[in-house]
Order: sequence, then structure tokens, then C-alpha cells
Amino acid sequence: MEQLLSQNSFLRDVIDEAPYGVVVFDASGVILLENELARQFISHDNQSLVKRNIKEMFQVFEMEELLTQIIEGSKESFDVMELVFDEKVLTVRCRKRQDWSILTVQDITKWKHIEMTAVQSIIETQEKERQRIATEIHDGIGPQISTTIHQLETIAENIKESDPETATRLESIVEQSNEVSSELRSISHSLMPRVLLDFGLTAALQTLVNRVNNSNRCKIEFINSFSGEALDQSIELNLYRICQELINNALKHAKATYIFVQLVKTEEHLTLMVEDDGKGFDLNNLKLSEGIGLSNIEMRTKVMNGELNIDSAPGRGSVVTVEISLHEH
Amino acid sequence: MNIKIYIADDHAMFRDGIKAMLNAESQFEVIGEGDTEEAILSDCARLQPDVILMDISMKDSDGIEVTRKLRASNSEVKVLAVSMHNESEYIKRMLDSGANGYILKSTGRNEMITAIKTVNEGATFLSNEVSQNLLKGLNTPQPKNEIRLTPREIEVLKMIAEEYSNQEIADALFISSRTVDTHRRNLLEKLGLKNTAGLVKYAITQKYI
Repeated sequence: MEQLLSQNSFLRDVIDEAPYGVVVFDASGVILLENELARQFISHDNQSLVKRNIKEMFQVFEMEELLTQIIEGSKESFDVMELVFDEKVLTVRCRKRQDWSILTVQDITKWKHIEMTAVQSIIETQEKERQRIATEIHDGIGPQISTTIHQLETIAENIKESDPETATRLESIVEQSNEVSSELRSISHSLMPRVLLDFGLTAALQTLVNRVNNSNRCKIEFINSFSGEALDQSIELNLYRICQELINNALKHAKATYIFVQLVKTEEHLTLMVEDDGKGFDLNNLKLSEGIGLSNIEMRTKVMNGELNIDSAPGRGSVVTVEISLHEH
Repeated sequence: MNIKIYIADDHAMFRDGIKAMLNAESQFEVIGEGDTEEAILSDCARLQPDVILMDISMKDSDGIEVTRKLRASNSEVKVLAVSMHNESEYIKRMLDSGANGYILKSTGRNEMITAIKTVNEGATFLSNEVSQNLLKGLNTPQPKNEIRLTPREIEVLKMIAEEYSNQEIADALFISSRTVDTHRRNLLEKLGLKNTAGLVKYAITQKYI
């Protein structure tokens, strides 16, 4: 093939000028042809790829598997989006022809980066807005309604003897208003946990866990082996939101009776692990609301450069792990 | 003699409401109000109130900090926290910094009156919800030397000790081998152990196998 190309400089030029990496390999995986971009993206040593085996070039679990299937003939083609390879993010496509296969590689690192920045700013804007509304409720409306309640109580007290009937009605209005006030407080809390901003992640998770325990819906335990050193606030908020979402899923969808929330710090990583004993779910068959919840978790994990792992099977509960590197932050 | 009260809160409306409510009682007299640390501290030095109703989250100051400063200046004024926050963290910090009582802004009128009288007499007052939350907050942290393992962690530990491979454990427990690995690392970290041999030893001494 190389010979063929050397005789046909037009074809060679086309391949070299292609805006993506091109590799052709034979039936046993030996590379016959490459262009400059392919060498840049795939080669570790920047040496030519020709005569080397394609499988050796991609020593990443999912790629090895797919390439083996192509070579053995059990697969005709594959597309891998967002392959993390050598600190790059690549899109790899492979098509099998009779005697050879062609593989194209695109470097989408820059686009991923832009996408992440966009996602991050969406999350931040959303959190800011939540915080604004929560503060408005907690510090604005909350005290106002308390004041109103106090005034009603004063009036009720003053007319207790002269007009007991109205006083009783006022008292029941006071009671209703108290319920409104406590509802407002819990809305404000789920919008933005002040404890998180004031006292950090572990205190906030403890408060969250206490709240669920108080509701008597389920037993939940927080096992913390993280000293609580301050992390970047956006990291704390992301981990908190992920935990909130997972607990919510466990209660609402999985009907769990026992949940464990753990923060474990190793030398380099911080792991958040949420286990539950609920119904579990099939990752390939999610309800819409569960799917949205999980994709939020996915997005927040990505923004932290973390790793997300979800294990669940129907009837087996679930274990969700988010691991982030402590040195980057 | 009337109990002299100072209101530290950044909401004019809340202050007005409280003032109206307390001034209606013959035994109370609201003698001042303020919402910045500076104003509160200097007013208290000058007006010598008996009781301060202290908000926690104020726009320009923090009630916990102001209380600490009052105590640092040897002020004997009784501080009654009146806050929207009902989480144990706030309650603990406020009491730590020297508050004599803690009630919520949603507290009813009668309870507020009782609270003011109680702290004025030198006793501590916590409203019901507050003391409950405080107790729960105190109960929950586990003692440091007790290591808590989840049922699944114990399963994983047992199987490691019985020399099952990651994949075998994964298959048996319906989890991925990556999660098994995370469990293994968490176990090592939580138990302060270095390697699998340590885990095996621990499983045996704890009679898990």
C-alpha cells in the first residue's frame, strides 16, 4: 500500500492533508499507513507507526477489546467518543474493509475543555442564583413572617379577655403561619445549605444526614474519615449536591431503608461513597427523573475532574463512588 | 425593675415587631437596637442592657463573633441568640462563644418572654427544637476509636481474607471490580492498614472469618 501511495502522490497528499489522523492496518493489525496527525495523536515516542501493531499503540482497555474484535472479524466497525488517551481526549472511528481496516482519530481535547468551561459556568450561575433566592427567603421573607406572627400573637394576647373568639382564630392563624415559616426554612435549606458555606462539607453532610434521620423515612449513617480541611468551595458544593441527589434517589426511587454516606481521604484522593439497600436500578433502563439526576451527578463529577462509578443491579441496592484528586484542588 | 433589652438584628421590620411586642409587656424595656458589630459593642458598653437579643447572620456582622467580643471585654450582659438557624453547628458555636440562650425567630411570643426572663436570672434557656437539634448534633459523631464498617465493606473484607480475587468478589456481590478496589482502599485507609496481609489479620482478630 505504501508503494501504491508513493506512486500516487495525489492520494498521499489527500491523506496527509486530512484534518484528522488516519491509520490503515492489515488483517493482523499491522499498520500499513499513517499520516502526520495520526502519529501525533497515537505514537508515544513520535516514531512512525508503520509496521507496528495497532493494538500495542492503544493500550487502553476498551480500545484493546474493540480492536481485537475488528481483527478477529467479530466487529465491522466501532466509534469511540471521548476516549481519554495520554492526557488527550480523542474520538476514534474504525471501519473494516476486506483486507485492511481504516481508523481515524480526532483530537477533541480543546472542545472538551471549552465544553467543561461552559458546563462549569452553567453550574456556577445556577448555584449563585439558588444562593440568592435562598438568602432572600432565609434572611428576608423568613424574619418578615416571624415578625407578622409576633404581631398577631400580641394582638391575640391583648384581646384574649375582651374577644376570646377572635383571639382563638388568631391563634390558629399563628399556627398556620408557623408551618409556612418552617416550610420556607426547609426550602431555603435545600436551595443553599448555609451550614456548607459557614462550616464546610462535613458539617453540612452531617446536617443533611440528621435531617433525613429526623424525617424517620429511613436510617442513614454518615461515616467520616476526612478531617474536614477546607476544600475549594465549588468542590464542596459539588460533592454536597451529588450527595443530596444520591440520598434523594435512594429515598424516592430505590425506597432504601438504610443508607451509608462515607467520606474517605487517602493521601491523594477524597472518595465520596453512597451505599443503599434499596431496589437498585438497571443503568440501561432508567426512569427519566433518575436519568436526569444521574447525569447531573456525572456533570458535576466531570467538572471536578473526578471519577464516577455507579454499581447497581435490580434488587441489589447500589453503590456510587465519586473520587477526586486532592492535589489538583 | 424593668429588664433592659437591646436588639441586635439587621432587619428593621423584625426589630420593630419585637420592640412592639416587648414594650407591650410591663416588665420589659427596649433601650436600643443596632445591626453592625461596632454599633452593638459600643451601644452595649454605653447603655448597659440586661439582655441582648442577638441575631446570628447579619449583613455586616456575625452574632457569634460579636458575642465572643462581648465576652472578651468581660461584659456580663446576657446574650439570647434569636436566629433563623436551627442547625446544631450554629447552636454549638453560639453557646461556645458565650451565649446564655438560644431561641428561633419562629419562636412564639410566650416562649420568647420566658427565654428573656430566664437568661436575665442567670440561667440558660434553649427552646425545645433547639435543644433537640443540639442533642442530635452531639450524639451523631462516632467516637474516634470506633471504626464503622458498612455491611458491604465487611463482606468484601471477609472475601479478601478468604483469598478471593477482585473479580470473584465483584461477581459474588453484584458490583464492579473497580468498586471492590475502592472498598479495599477505603478499608485500608479506615483501618490504618498497609496491605492485604493487614486486612487478613484484621479479619481474623475481629473474628470476621
